[in-house]
Amino acid sequence: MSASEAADRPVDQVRTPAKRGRLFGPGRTLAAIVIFAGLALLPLVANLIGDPFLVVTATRIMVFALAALSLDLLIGFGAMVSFGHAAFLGIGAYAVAILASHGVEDILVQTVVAVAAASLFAFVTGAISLKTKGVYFIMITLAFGQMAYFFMVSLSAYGGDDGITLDRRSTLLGSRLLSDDIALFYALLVVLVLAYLGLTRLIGSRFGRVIRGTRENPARMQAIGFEPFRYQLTAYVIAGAIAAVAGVFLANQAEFVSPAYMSWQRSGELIVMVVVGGMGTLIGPVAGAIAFLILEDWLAAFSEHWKLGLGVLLILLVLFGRGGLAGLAGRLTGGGRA
Amino acid sequence: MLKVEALESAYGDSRILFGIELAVAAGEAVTLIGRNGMGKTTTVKSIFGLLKPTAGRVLIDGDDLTGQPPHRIAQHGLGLVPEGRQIFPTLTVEENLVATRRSRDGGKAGRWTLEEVYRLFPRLKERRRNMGNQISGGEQQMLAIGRALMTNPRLVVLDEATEGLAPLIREEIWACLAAIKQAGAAILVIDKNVEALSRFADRHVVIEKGRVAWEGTTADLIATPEIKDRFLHV
Amino acid sequence: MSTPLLSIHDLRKSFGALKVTDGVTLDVPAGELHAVIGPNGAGKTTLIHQLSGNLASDSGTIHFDREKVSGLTMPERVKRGMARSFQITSILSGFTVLENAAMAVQARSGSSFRFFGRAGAERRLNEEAMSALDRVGLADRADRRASSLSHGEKRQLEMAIALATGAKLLLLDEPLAGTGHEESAALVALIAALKETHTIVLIEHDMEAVFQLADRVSVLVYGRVIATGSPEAVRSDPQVRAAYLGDETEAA
Repeated sequence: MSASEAADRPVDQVRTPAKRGRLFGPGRTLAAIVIFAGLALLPLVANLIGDPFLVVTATRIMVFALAALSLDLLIGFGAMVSFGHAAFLGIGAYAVAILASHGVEDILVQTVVAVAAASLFAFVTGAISLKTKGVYFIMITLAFGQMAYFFMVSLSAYGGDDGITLDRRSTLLGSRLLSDDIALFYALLVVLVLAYLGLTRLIGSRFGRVIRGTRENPARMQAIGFEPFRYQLTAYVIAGAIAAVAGVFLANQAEFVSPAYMSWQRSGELIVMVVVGGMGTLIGPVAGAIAFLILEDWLAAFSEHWKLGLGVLLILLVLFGRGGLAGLAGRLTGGGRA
Repeated sequence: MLKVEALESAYGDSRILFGIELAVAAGEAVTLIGRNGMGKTTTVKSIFGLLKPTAGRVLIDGDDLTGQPPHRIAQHGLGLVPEGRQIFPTLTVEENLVATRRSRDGGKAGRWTLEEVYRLFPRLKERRRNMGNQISGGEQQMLAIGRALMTNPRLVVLDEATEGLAPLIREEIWACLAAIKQAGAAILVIDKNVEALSRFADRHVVIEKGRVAWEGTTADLIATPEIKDRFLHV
Repeated sequence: MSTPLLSIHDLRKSFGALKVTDGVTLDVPAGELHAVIGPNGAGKTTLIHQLSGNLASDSGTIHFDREKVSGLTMPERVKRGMARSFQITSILSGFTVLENAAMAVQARSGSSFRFFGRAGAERRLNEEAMSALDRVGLADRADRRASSLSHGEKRQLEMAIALATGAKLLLLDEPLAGTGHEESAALVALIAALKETHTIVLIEHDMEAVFQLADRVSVLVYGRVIATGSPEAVRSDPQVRAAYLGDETEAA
């Protein structure tokens, strides 16, 4: 078939690249390279323009980018809209704070505990939530998120509503390396890039295919012999664990932990980041987190009613921007979804 | 008064009708017969605009009403007695009848008033205060027919007139259909029992795999007994 | 006398007061193509749902390959060799044709809790998937998005997926639904070819197809089997005649 003939066919009928069987087109890889390279250079830029605070802000943005990335596994690839994902961020953060208050400051130990705690929480709440579908799933995950929130609020031993302040950041194998803003920044960037690459691999794996197939047509998956539940639960645990790692970095970046990290509003913001960035693209939610937090800062400078402006922008994006930022970028560069 | 030309219909890309040709003259009774899954109900739905045809035309008194919304079709004088009756369960029998009543155009009193319907179906009069779902299947079918009659249609279309009903009730309904025809309405009826239908039907149209496979008068049908075996039986 | 591959005994299912399956008993020997026909509302699809595991019966048993399967979930039955196709096409539209079949192969080829290897590159999965596609005649469509297939091709894909599960018994629910004349003929030829290697339970309205393909036919009316036998025997059965032609007088 000639190129012009191919161009005349509806997008649907254009052949998917057979050999590579790619899920992510070259556009997405390019976007990822641009974003991660940009982040890698950021401390240098900050130095050049004499604004070290930029690094601190960027670290915070990357925390949410990592959390949004993990949520995309659920929303974008698994069609599991979790409205309680912030709970895992909180679990990670509290693991750091609670262990530190008992003298355990090593970040590796804290991360292992954070992941273990988050995985357990995800396993139990996921096992219950995944017995439901659609709106009910959203409500039940919301409920579990709130449960975690109120649990920490009531735990006055660990600050309750006021939260806990960390005296200093976690140690890394005995050293105080992470007390340096730039060191923490790069540590998180490495984790973020690894998570992105890992999830990209995961999506193309056997497991990833089952998750994607279940999102597409659960009845069909059952009819060929897959019990969706166990795969969905595994994805739920993986996503929770990754978000907990983000929480570990959040505690270190802010040197403060409070139950607010787990609130439903935070969970909602994560969903917004994923949707705005473009569900099911992995790099989209990263961009979404960046965009959301920058916009938040920027609009806040204008007025204290910045949330109104953000809301309007969101509505416009949802109504007119199919596929979020990733979709927009895709259309601008002339490529469709591979 | 009804003319269907080269009608094609599909549910998404599941194609059901491949060019149906059909005509019902004023006052005529025509049966639409054929096995299940052949496209009879789809034909009715396409005529009534419940399913928008993908090709072909539906002409009522010469006006092209293809794919028009159902209320338009009804306004042009067609009345539907749908498959499964679809009685309003939260209304009484009487309320079901009057809810969609309509006189003939021009303000003239239509042939079918509440009293006339009750005369045709005395059982409905007995049960007129029962809720729609508190009557038997046969009574529901009568109610569905009565409801259609109350709109004073010039053509009554029945999709499965007697399915699932006891033999005696079926006889009653066939007798009523004959009476309705006597009163001047045209009829297009989907049903299984060709013999019973032949008592009042003028013509028969056999649908097989989305096409008209045979068409003829009752006399033609009697003269070609293999039609029944070939198209209706297993 | 060898045990039949599929054995249904006194199967019952009601929805409220409505008896949709009213004591169905049926045996299908290995290698047979058994057609289930009946007028509207007879409960044919509900029967297939109970056989495949989509719907739990109220009572009665289903035995497959000498094992009681009535209590098993659908994926468990698929693993044992019972696969179904759907009356309303149910495929993975966003995946390629090859991937659709490969998923079915993957389901029976070891664990899917593998997180890092690229499933799309697994040779064995793709080869077996291709051979299923080949059998139904979709090999040249392997790389296309499933949503871009024509309706008839999608029906073929439904069958390819069932084949790719490696099933011994195929439950085909109106495979010819919505197809035109040519597509229909192609599918009938395909099913005829599949008869040689599979046992098939076929629900269909298209009598020509049923008579071409079926070894035996069961007629289901209001949830009960009123006749079982060769197509010709069923055709001449007076009760079947009554059911189809509505001749009340002929009903015994």
